[in-house]
Amino acid sequence: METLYIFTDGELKRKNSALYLIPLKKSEKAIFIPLKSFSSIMVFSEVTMNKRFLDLLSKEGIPIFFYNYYGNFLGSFYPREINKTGEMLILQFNHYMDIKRRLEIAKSILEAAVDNMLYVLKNYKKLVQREINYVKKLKGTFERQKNIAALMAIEGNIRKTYYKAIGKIVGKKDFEFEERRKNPPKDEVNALISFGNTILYNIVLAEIYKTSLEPSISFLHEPNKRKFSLQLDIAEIFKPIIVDKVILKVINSNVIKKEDFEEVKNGVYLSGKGKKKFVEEFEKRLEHKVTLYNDNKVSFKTVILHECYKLIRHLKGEEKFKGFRLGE
Amino acid sequence: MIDIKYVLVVYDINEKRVNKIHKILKKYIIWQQNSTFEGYITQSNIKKMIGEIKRKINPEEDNIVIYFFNSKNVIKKEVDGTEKWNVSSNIL
Repeated sequence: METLYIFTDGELKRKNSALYLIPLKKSEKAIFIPLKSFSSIMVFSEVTMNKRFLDLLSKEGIPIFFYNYYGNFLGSFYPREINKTGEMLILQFNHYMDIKRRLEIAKSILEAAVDNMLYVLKNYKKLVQREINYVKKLKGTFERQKNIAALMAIEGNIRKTYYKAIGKIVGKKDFEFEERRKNPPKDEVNALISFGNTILYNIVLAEIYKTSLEPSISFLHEPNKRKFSLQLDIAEIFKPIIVDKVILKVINSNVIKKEDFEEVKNGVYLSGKGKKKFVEEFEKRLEHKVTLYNDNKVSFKTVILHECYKLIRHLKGEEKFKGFRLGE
Repeated sequence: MIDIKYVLVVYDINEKRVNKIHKILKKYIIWQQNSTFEGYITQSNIKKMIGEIKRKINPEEDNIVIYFFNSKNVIKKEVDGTEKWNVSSNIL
Protein backbone atom coordinates (compact mmCIF):
# COMPACT_ATOMS: atom_id res chain seq x y z
CA MET A 1 0.00 0.00 0.00
CA GLU A 2 2.40 2.60 -1.14
CA THR A 3 0.83 4.59 -3.90
CA LEU A 4 -2.34 6.52 -3.20
CA TYR A 5 -4.74 6.93 -6.11
CA ILE A 6 -7.36 9.64 -5.77
CA PHE A 7 -10.49 9.41 -7.89
CA THR A 8 -12.72 11.44 -5.55
CA ASP A 9 -13.41 15.09 -6.36
CA GLY A 10 -12.77 17.32 -3.40
CA GLU A 11 -10.31 19.23 -1.34
CA LEU A 12 -6.89 18.05 -0.15
CA LYS A 13 -5.84 19.67 3.10
CA ARG A 14 -3.18 19.38 5.69
CA LYS A 15 -4.53 18.72 9.11
CA ASN A 16 -2.33 17.67 12.06
CA SER A 17 0.45 16.36 9.80
CA ALA A 18 -1.96 14.07 8.02
CA LEU A 19 -3.71 14.43 4.69
CA TYR A 20 -7.37 15.33 5.07
CA LEU A 21 -9.60 14.62 2.09
CA ILE A 22 -12.94 16.42 1.99
CA PRO A 23 -15.09 15.00 -0.80
CA LEU A 24 -17.15 17.42 -2.87
CA LYS A 25 -20.21 15.23 -2.52
CA LYS A 26 -21.90 15.94 0.79
CA SER A 27 -22.95 12.32 1.17
CA GLU A 28 -19.35 11.12 1.48
CA LYS A 29 -17.42 11.47 4.71
CA ALA A 30 -14.17 13.37 5.05
CA ILE A 31 -11.25 11.13 5.95
CA PHE A 32 -7.75 11.31 7.32
CA ILE A 33 -5.08 9.62 5.27
CA PRO A 34 -1.80 8.77 7.02
CA LEU A 35 0.98 9.78 4.66
CA LYS A 36 3.81 7.88 6.33
CA SER A 37 2.93 4.70 4.48
CA PHE A 38 2.79 6.27 1.02
CA SER A 39 5.58 6.99 -1.41
CA SER A 40 3.59 8.81 -4.10
CA ILE A 41 0.13 10.18 -4.84
CA MET A 42 -1.67 10.02 -8.18
CA VAL A 43 -4.57 12.39 -8.70
CA PHE A 44 -7.17 11.64 -11.39
CA SER A 45 -10.04 13.77 -10.06
CA GLU A 46 -10.71 17.48 -9.64
CA VAL A 47 -9.07 18.59 -6.44
CA THR A 48 -8.18 21.85 -4.78
CA MET A 49 -5.23 22.26 -2.47
CA ASN A 50 -3.11 24.87 -0.81
CA LYS A 51 0.55 25.50 -0.15
CA ARG A 52 0.36 24.16 3.38
CA PHE A 53 -0.54 20.81 1.88
CA LEU A 54 2.43 20.93 -0.51
CA ASP A 55 4.57 21.80 2.50
CA LEU A 56 3.46 18.55 4.12
CA LEU A 57 4.33 16.55 0.98
CA SER A 58 7.71 18.21 0.84
CA LYS A 59 8.35 17.33 4.47
CA GLU A 60 7.39 13.71 3.94
CA GLY A 61 9.17 13.56 0.57
CA ILE A 62 6.18 12.44 -1.44
CA PRO A 63 5.84 13.45 -5.11
CA ILE A 64 2.29 14.04 -6.35
CA PHE A 65 1.31 13.40 -9.98
CA PHE A 66 -1.66 14.89 -11.80
CA TYR A 67 -3.58 13.39 -14.71
CA ASN A 68 -6.18 15.01 -16.92
CA TYR A 69 -9.65 13.73 -17.77
CA TYR A 70 -8.28 11.27 -20.33
CA GLY A 71 -5.61 9.93 -18.00
CA ASN A 72 -2.77 11.77 -19.73
CA PHE A 73 -0.01 12.99 -17.49
CA LEU A 74 -0.26 16.71 -16.71
CA GLY A 75 2.63 17.33 -14.41
CA SER A 76 3.86 16.75 -10.93
CA PHE A 77 4.92 18.38 -7.74
CA TYR A 78 8.41 17.01 -7.17
CA PRO A 79 9.39 18.05 -3.64
CA ARG A 80 12.67 19.64 -2.66
CA GLU A 81 15.37 17.07 -3.37
CA ILE A 82 17.00 15.82 -0.21
CA ASN A 83 19.03 12.81 -1.22
CA LYS A 84 20.76 14.23 -4.28
CA THR A 85 24.51 14.57 -4.28
CA GLY A 86 26.86 16.31 -6.66
CA GLU A 87 28.96 13.18 -6.79
CA MET A 88 26.20 11.11 -8.33
CA LEU A 89 25.45 13.86 -10.85
CA ILE A 90 29.07 13.83 -12.03
CA LEU A 91 29.13 10.02 -12.24
CA GLN A 92 25.97 9.98 -14.31
CA PHE A 93 27.29 12.74 -16.54
CA ASN A 94 30.57 10.90 -17.13
CA HIS A 95 28.77 7.71 -18.07
CA TYR A 96 26.50 9.63 -20.39
CA MET A 97 29.32 11.42 -22.21
CA ASP A 98 31.50 8.36 -22.72
CA ILE A 99 29.75 6.49 -25.55
CA LYS A 100 31.33 3.17 -24.61
CA ARG A 101 30.13 3.35 -21.03
CA ARG A 102 26.74 4.68 -22.09
CA LEU A 103 26.27 1.81 -24.56
CA GLU A 104 27.11 -0.71 -21.86
CA ILE A 105 24.26 0.50 -19.65
CA ALA A 106 21.84 0.94 -22.55
CA LYS A 107 22.51 -2.59 -23.81
CA SER A 108 21.99 -4.24 -20.44
CA ILE A 109 18.72 -2.34 -19.99
CA LEU A 110 17.46 -3.42 -23.42
CA GLU A 111 18.54 -7.04 -23.00
CA ALA A 112 16.62 -7.29 -19.74
CA ALA A 113 13.60 -5.62 -21.38
CA VAL A 114 13.64 -8.10 -24.28
CA ASP A 115 14.04 -11.08 -21.96
CA ASN A 116 11.02 -9.88 -20.04
CA MET A 117 9.06 -9.53 -23.30
CA LEU A 118 9.94 -13.12 -24.12
CA TYR A 119 8.77 -14.11 -20.64
CA VAL A 120 5.35 -12.60 -21.36
CA LEU A 121 5.09 -14.31 -24.76
CA LYS A 122 6.25 -17.66 -23.36
CA ASN A 123 2.76 -18.47 -22.08
CA TYR A 124 1.33 -18.19 -25.59
CA LYS A 125 4.01 -20.20 -27.37
CA LYS A 126 1.71 -22.02 -29.75
CA LEU A 127 0.12 -18.83 -30.99
CA VAL A 128 3.18 -16.65 -31.44
CA GLN A 129 6.13 -18.98 -32.00
CA ARG A 130 7.19 -17.13 -35.15
CA GLU A 131 7.32 -13.77 -33.36
CA ILE A 132 9.30 -15.29 -30.49
CA ASN A 133 11.93 -16.63 -32.88
CA TYR A 134 12.23 -13.30 -34.67
CA VAL A 135 12.60 -11.36 -31.40
CA LYS A 136 15.31 -13.79 -30.29
CA LYS A 137 17.14 -13.31 -33.58
CA LEU A 138 17.01 -9.51 -33.31
CA LYS A 139 18.16 -9.66 -29.69
CA GLY A 140 21.40 -11.31 -30.83
CA THR A 141 22.35 -8.23 -32.86
CA PHE A 142 22.43 -5.86 -29.84
CA GLU A 143 25.98 -6.84 -29.01
CA ARG A 144 27.40 -5.60 -32.33
CA GLN A 145 25.88 -2.09 -32.23
CA LYS A 146 28.19 0.87 -31.93
CA ASN A 147 25.74 3.71 -31.25
CA ILE A 148 22.51 4.48 -29.44
CA ALA A 149 20.50 5.23 -32.58
CA ALA A 150 21.20 1.77 -34.04
CA LEU A 151 20.32 0.20 -30.70
CA MET A 152 17.02 2.08 -30.61
CA ALA A 153 16.24 1.08 -34.20
CA ILE A 154 16.56 -2.61 -33.32
CA GLU A 155 14.53 -2.04 -30.19
CA GLY A 156 11.87 -0.46 -32.41
CA ASN A 157 11.78 -3.55 -34.61
CA ILE A 158 11.59 -5.87 -31.62
CA ARG A 159 8.77 -3.87 -30.13
CA LYS A 160 6.87 -3.94 -33.43
CA THR A 161 7.13 -7.74 -33.56
CA TYR A 162 6.26 -8.00 -29.89
CA TYR A 163 3.16 -5.86 -30.29
CA LYS A 164 2.13 -7.93 -33.29
CA ALA A 165 2.26 -10.96 -31.01
CA ILE A 166 0.24 -9.14 -28.33
CA GLY A 167 -2.27 -8.27 -31.05
CA LYS A 168 -2.66 -11.96 -31.88
CA ILE A 169 -3.20 -12.80 -28.21
CA VAL A 170 -5.84 -10.14 -27.53
CA GLY A 171 -7.43 -10.79 -30.92
CA LYS A 172 -8.95 -13.92 -29.40
CA LYS A 173 -10.97 -11.74 -27.05
CA ASP A 174 -12.28 -9.49 -29.79
CA PHE A 175 -9.84 -6.65 -29.24
CA GLU A 176 -8.05 -5.32 -32.27
CA PHE A 177 -4.46 -4.26 -32.02
CA GLU A 178 -1.92 -3.97 -34.79
CA GLU A 179 0.61 -1.33 -33.98
CA ARG A 180 1.42 1.25 -31.36
CA ARG A 181 -0.29 4.60 -32.02
CA LYS A 182 -0.44 7.32 -29.45
CA ASN A 183 -1.63 10.93 -29.10
CA PRO A 184 -4.48 9.97 -29.09
CA PRO A 185 -4.37 6.15 -28.75
CA LYS A 186 -5.91 4.56 -31.84
CA ASP A 187 -7.75 1.64 -30.25
CA GLU A 188 -8.57 0.10 -26.88
CA VAL A 189 -5.31 -1.76 -26.41
CA ASN A 190 -3.32 1.34 -27.36
CA ALA A 191 -5.30 3.28 -24.76
CA LEU A 192 -4.44 0.69 -22.10
CA ILE A 193 -0.75 0.71 -23.03
CA SER A 194 -0.57 4.51 -22.94
CA PHE A 195 -2.31 4.73 -19.60
CA GLY A 196 -0.31 1.89 -18.04
CA ASN A 197 3.03 3.20 -19.24
CA THR A 198 2.27 6.69 -17.94
CA ILE A 199 1.53 5.39 -14.46
CA LEU A 200 4.58 3.12 -14.48
CA TYR A 201 6.86 6.03 -15.46
CA ASN A 202 5.66 8.01 -12.47
CA ILE A 203 5.94 5.09 -10.07
CA VAL A 204 9.53 4.61 -11.22
CA LEU A 205 10.16 8.35 -10.82
CA ALA A 206 8.85 8.17 -7.25
CA GLU A 207 11.33 5.36 -6.53
CA ILE A 208 14.20 7.30 -8.15
CA TYR A 209 13.31 10.20 -5.86
CA LYS A 210 14.20 8.08 -2.84
CA THR A 211 17.72 7.44 -4.15
CA SER A 212 20.58 9.77 -5.01
CA LEU A 213 20.11 9.29 -8.77
CA GLU A 214 19.49 12.44 -10.78
CA PRO A 215 16.37 11.78 -12.86
CA SER A 216 17.24 14.14 -15.71
CA ILE A 217 20.29 12.26 -17.04
CA SER A 218 19.44 9.04 -18.84
CA PHE A 219 21.45 6.56 -20.85
CA LEU A 220 19.20 4.69 -23.25
CA HIS A 221 16.77 7.50 -23.98
CA GLU A 222 18.04 10.91 -25.03
CA PRO A 223 17.72 13.28 -22.11
CA ASN A 224 16.76 16.23 -24.27
CA LYS A 225 13.10 15.39 -24.86
CA ARG A 226 11.71 16.04 -21.39
CA LYS A 227 12.88 17.12 -18.00
CA PHE A 228 13.03 13.74 -16.33
CA SER A 229 14.10 10.84 -18.52
CA LEU A 230 15.94 8.33 -16.35
CA GLN A 231 12.56 6.89 -15.38
CA LEU A 232 12.02 5.90 -19.03
CA ASP A 233 15.22 3.84 -18.98
CA ILE A 234 14.36 1.91 -15.85
CA ALA A 235 10.68 1.55 -16.79
CA GLU A 236 11.78 -0.13 -20.04
CA ILE A 237 12.75 -3.23 -18.06
CA PHE A 238 9.41 -3.42 -16.27
CA LYS A 239 6.95 -2.49 -19.00
CA PRO A 240 6.43 -6.06 -20.30
CA ILE A 241 6.16 -7.76 -16.92
CA ILE A 242 4.00 -5.10 -15.28
CA VAL A 243 2.00 -3.06 -17.79
CA ASP A 244 1.58 -5.66 -20.53
CA LYS A 245 0.85 -8.44 -18.06
CA VAL A 246 -1.89 -6.32 -16.47
CA ILE A 247 -3.33 -5.54 -19.90
CA LEU A 248 -3.46 -9.21 -20.86
CA LYS A 249 -5.05 -9.99 -17.52
CA VAL A 250 -7.79 -7.36 -17.67
CA ILE A 251 -8.65 -8.38 -21.21
CA ASN A 252 -8.42 -12.16 -20.80
CA SER A 253 -10.44 -12.23 -17.60
CA ASN A 254 -13.00 -9.71 -18.86
CA VAL A 255 -12.28 -7.18 -16.11
CA ILE A 256 -12.26 -4.42 -18.68
CA LYS A 257 -14.76 -4.62 -21.48
CA LYS A 258 -15.42 -2.52 -24.53
CA GLU A 259 -17.86 -0.29 -22.65
CA ASP A 260 -15.08 0.88 -20.34
CA PHE A 261 -13.70 3.06 -23.11
CA GLU A 262 -14.69 6.44 -24.44
CA GLU A 263 -14.29 7.48 -28.03
CA VAL A 264 -12.83 10.84 -28.94
CA LYS A 265 -11.88 12.30 -32.28
CA ASN A 266 -9.44 9.85 -33.94
CA GLY A 267 -8.96 7.86 -30.81
CA VAL A 268 -10.06 5.98 -27.73
CA TYR A 269 -9.49 6.62 -24.04
CA LEU A 270 -10.33 4.73 -20.86
CA SER A 271 -13.44 5.97 -19.11
CA GLY A 272 -13.40 7.03 -15.46
CA LYS A 273 -14.68 3.64 -14.36
CA GLY A 274 -12.26 1.85 -16.65
CA LYS A 275 -9.33 3.78 -15.24
CA LYS A 276 -10.30 2.79 -11.72
CA LYS A 277 -10.57 -0.88 -12.64
CA PHE A 278 -7.23 -0.78 -14.42
CA VAL A 279 -5.49 0.95 -11.53
CA GLU A 280 -6.83 -1.68 -9.13
CA GLU A 281 -5.29 -4.49 -11.17
CA PHE A 282 -2.14 -2.47 -11.70
CA GLU A 283 -1.65 -1.95 -7.99
CA LYS A 284 -2.24 -5.67 -7.36
CA ARG A 285 0.50 -6.42 -9.88
CA LEU A 286 2.90 -3.95 -8.25
CA GLU A 287 2.36 -5.64 -4.90
CA HIS A 288 2.94 -9.04 -6.50
CA LYS A 289 5.79 -10.74 -4.68
CA VAL A 290 8.81 -12.04 -6.55
CA THR A 291 11.98 -13.67 -5.32
CA LEU A 292 15.05 -11.52 -5.20
CA TYR A 293 18.45 -12.66 -3.96
CA ASN A 294 18.60 -15.24 -1.15
CA ASP A 295 14.97 -16.19 -1.56
CA ASN A 296 13.83 -12.85 -0.24
CA LYS A 297 10.27 -12.19 -1.36
CA VAL A 298 9.65 -8.58 -2.27
CA SER A 299 7.06 -6.66 -4.24
CA PHE A 300 7.69 -5.32 -7.73
CA LYS A 301 7.85 -1.83 -6.27
CA THR A 302 10.83 -2.87 -4.15
CA VAL A 303 12.40 -4.52 -7.18
CA ILE A 304 12.20 -1.17 -8.98
CA LEU A 305 13.96 0.52 -6.08
CA HIS A 306 16.61 -2.23 -6.14
CA GLU A 307 17.12 -1.56 -9.83
CA CYS A 308 17.96 2.07 -8.98
CA TYR A 309 20.48 0.93 -6.37
CA LYS A 310 21.99 -1.52 -8.86
CA LEU A 311 22.45 1.34 -11.29
CA ILE A 312 24.14 3.41 -8.58
CA ARG A 313 26.51 0.54 -7.83
CA HIS A 314 27.32 0.29 -11.53
CA LEU A 315 28.01 4.03 -11.77
CA LYS A 316 30.31 3.81 -8.79
CA GLY A 317 32.13 0.92 -10.45
CA GLU A 318 31.27 -1.57 -7.73
CA GLU A 319 29.22 -4.08 -9.67
CA LYS A 320 28.11 -4.42 -13.30
CA PHE A 321 24.48 -3.51 -13.92
CA LYS A 322 22.33 -6.43 -14.97
CA GLY A 323 18.67 -5.70 -15.47
CA PHE A 324 16.00 -7.59 -13.55
CA ARG A 325 14.55 -10.61 -15.33
CA LEU A 326 11.41 -12.32 -14.20
CA GLY A 327 11.51 -16.07 -13.80
CA GLU A 328 15.25 -16.38 -13.56
CA MET B 1 11.00 -11.44 15.28
CA ILE B 2 8.12 -11.88 12.91
CA ASP B 3 7.74 -9.39 10.15
CA ILE B 4 5.02 -6.98 11.28
CA LYS B 5 2.89 -5.50 8.59
CA TYR B 6 -0.46 -4.67 10.13
CA VAL B 7 -1.36 -3.14 13.47
CA LEU B 8 -4.50 -2.44 15.47
CA VAL B 9 -4.20 0.25 18.13
CA VAL B 10 -6.75 0.97 20.86
CA TYR B 11 -6.24 3.42 23.69
CA ASP B 12 -7.66 4.86 26.86
CA ILE B 13 -6.01 8.15 27.58
CA ASN B 14 -6.69 11.13 29.83
CA GLU B 15 -8.59 13.88 28.03
CA LYS B 16 -5.70 16.29 28.44
CA ARG B 17 -3.44 14.18 26.29
CA VAL B 18 -5.84 12.28 24.07
CA ASN B 19 -5.54 14.78 21.27
CA LYS B 20 -1.77 14.58 21.17
CA ILE B 21 -1.84 10.81 20.82
CA HIS B 22 -4.55 11.06 18.21
CA LYS B 23 -2.41 13.40 16.14
CA ILE B 24 0.62 11.12 16.29
CA LEU B 25 -1.33 8.03 15.28
CA LYS B 26 -3.01 9.88 12.44
CA LYS B 27 0.33 10.34 10.73
CA TYR B 28 1.00 6.61 10.55
CA ILE B 29 -2.22 4.62 10.35
CA ILE B 30 -5.88 4.97 9.61
CA TRP B 31 -8.42 6.34 12.04
CA GLN B 32 -11.27 3.85 12.32
CA GLN B 33 -13.23 4.87 15.40
CA ASN B 34 -12.84 7.39 18.19
CA SER B 35 -10.04 5.53 19.93
CA THR B 36 -9.21 2.89 17.38
CA PHE B 37 -6.63 2.96 14.63
CA GLU B 38 -5.57 0.27 12.22
CA GLY B 39 -3.56 -0.14 9.07
CA TYR B 40 -0.47 -1.26 7.23
CA ILE B 41 2.77 0.01 8.63
CA THR B 42 6.47 -0.62 8.08
CA GLN B 43 8.87 -1.89 10.73
CA SER B 44 10.74 1.38 10.99
CA ASN B 45 7.53 3.37 11.24
CA ILE B 46 6.28 1.19 14.12
CA LYS B 47 9.41 2.05 16.08
CA LYS B 48 9.08 5.76 15.31
CA MET B 49 5.40 5.74 16.23
CA ILE B 50 5.90 3.96 19.54
CA GLY B 51 8.76 6.29 20.38
CA GLU B 52 6.65 9.36 19.73
CA ILE B 53 3.77 7.97 21.81
CA LYS B 54 6.00 7.04 24.73
CA ARG B 55 7.24 10.60 24.99
CA LYS B 56 3.71 11.94 25.32
CA ILE B 57 1.83 9.55 27.64
CA ASN B 58 1.69 9.47 31.39
CA PRO B 59 2.24 5.80 32.32
CA GLU B 60 0.23 6.09 35.50
CA GLU B 61 -3.01 7.22 33.96
CA ASP B 62 -2.93 6.18 30.31
CA ASN B 63 -3.24 2.85 28.65
CA ILE B 64 -2.53 1.99 25.06
CA VAL B 65 -2.74 -1.44 23.46
CA ILE B 66 -1.18 -2.37 20.15
CA TYR B 67 -2.01 -5.64 18.41
CA PHE B 68 0.58 -6.75 15.88
CA PHE B 69 -0.18 -8.93 12.87
CA ASN B 70 2.26 -10.22 10.31
CA SER B 71 -0.41 -10.35 7.66
CA LYS B 72 -3.83 -8.87 7.18
CA ASN B 73 -5.09 -12.29 6.17
CA VAL B 74 -5.23 -13.49 9.77
CA ILE B 75 -7.88 -10.93 10.68
CA LYS B 76 -11.50 -11.46 9.91
CA LYS B 77 -13.31 -8.20 10.17
CA GLU B 78 -17.01 -7.51 10.23
CA VAL B 79 -18.42 -4.02 10.05
CA ASP B 80 -21.98 -2.97 10.81
CA GLY B 81 -23.09 0.54 9.97
CA THR B 82 -20.91 2.81 7.90
CA GLU B 83 -17.19 2.34 7.82
CA LYS B 84 -15.00 5.42 7.65
CA TRP B 85 -12.63 4.04 5.11
CA ASN B 86 -12.08 0.59 3.73
CA VAL B 87 -8.54 0.17 4.99
CA SER B 88 -7.49 -2.44 2.49
CA SER B 89 -7.90 -0.06 -0.42
CA ASN B 90 -5.55 2.69 -1.47
CA ILE B 91 -7.81 3.82 -4.28
CA LEU B 92 -10.15 6.58 -3.21
